[in-house]
Amino acid sequence: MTSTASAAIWHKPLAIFEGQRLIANDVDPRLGGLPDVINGSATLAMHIAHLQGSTAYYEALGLNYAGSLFKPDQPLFSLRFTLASGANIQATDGPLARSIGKDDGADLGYASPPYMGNGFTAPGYAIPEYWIVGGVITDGELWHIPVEDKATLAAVLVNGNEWSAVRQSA
Amino acid sequence: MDNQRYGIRASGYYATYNGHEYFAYNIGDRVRLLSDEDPLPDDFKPSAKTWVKGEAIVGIDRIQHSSKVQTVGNWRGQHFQIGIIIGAVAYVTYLGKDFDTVCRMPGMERPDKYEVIGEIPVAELADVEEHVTELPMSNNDQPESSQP
Repeated sequence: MTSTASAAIWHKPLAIFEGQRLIANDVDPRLGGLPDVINGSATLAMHIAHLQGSTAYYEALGLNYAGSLFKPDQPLFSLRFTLASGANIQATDGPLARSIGKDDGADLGYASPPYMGNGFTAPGYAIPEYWIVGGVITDGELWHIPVEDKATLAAVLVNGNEWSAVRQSA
Repeated sequence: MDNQRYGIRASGYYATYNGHEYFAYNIGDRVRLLSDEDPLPDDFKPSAKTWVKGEAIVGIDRIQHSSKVQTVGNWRGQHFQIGIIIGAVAYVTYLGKDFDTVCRMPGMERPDKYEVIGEIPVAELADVEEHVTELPMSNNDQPESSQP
């Protein structure tokens, strides 16, 4: 993946049906409705690069909260992307926020699980968690993460703002 | 989008282009304008999105005025930000701390750790208020940025 705006490659997990809607460029309007705009919790891709299989993502990213769209025994999509300059990115913890030049962490209005209270994603995992508001994706890849098998590239962002499915070889 | 029919503007960014105000998205140095007008205004193309008829992407230097709107309301004792309305249904985002409870209410789901969204019958919304922030034209509406 090439980056036109920032060296940072981000990662956000998507449930299977969310990823399928993204591939169809039919994002839920409640989530902004735009296939090239990202919001919500995210991590840096380099911090999750060692994970293999959706169960590992589920545990390491703390996706076991009430009402979660994710299940430990189901595949998921891994959205990996770079952001245009101007994206509003907050650490969810004060010290982490200061490490990226902010005065304070994002006020998520939340002080109990799944929020760890320390800016990390889940117990036992040193993966910093960030909060993105209105991030415009410049380059993006959507990877299908099965429960056990290897990840496969499912779609790429083309022409800056639309997703195109990747044809899988037999 | 049926917001106009109910007199409830969707929360978000609004931009004036060629003298008309449009619901819009700021995408850096460009602005994505959305329109349900029929026929679509000049410069607009039919949209692939299911919830709006047409869109246009223009340079931010062609925007004459912009503002940010947050429309809020209550439903079943909980506070929500109101987004687009389609038919008789308002798409909303929960504003509060009790995600675990609200995500279990009818029509609600939790797509992210700290976000609950849902669909509410417009007729059941109460105490709807609109808050408008005028945006200076020398800047876009993106807050201060930091990237690690």
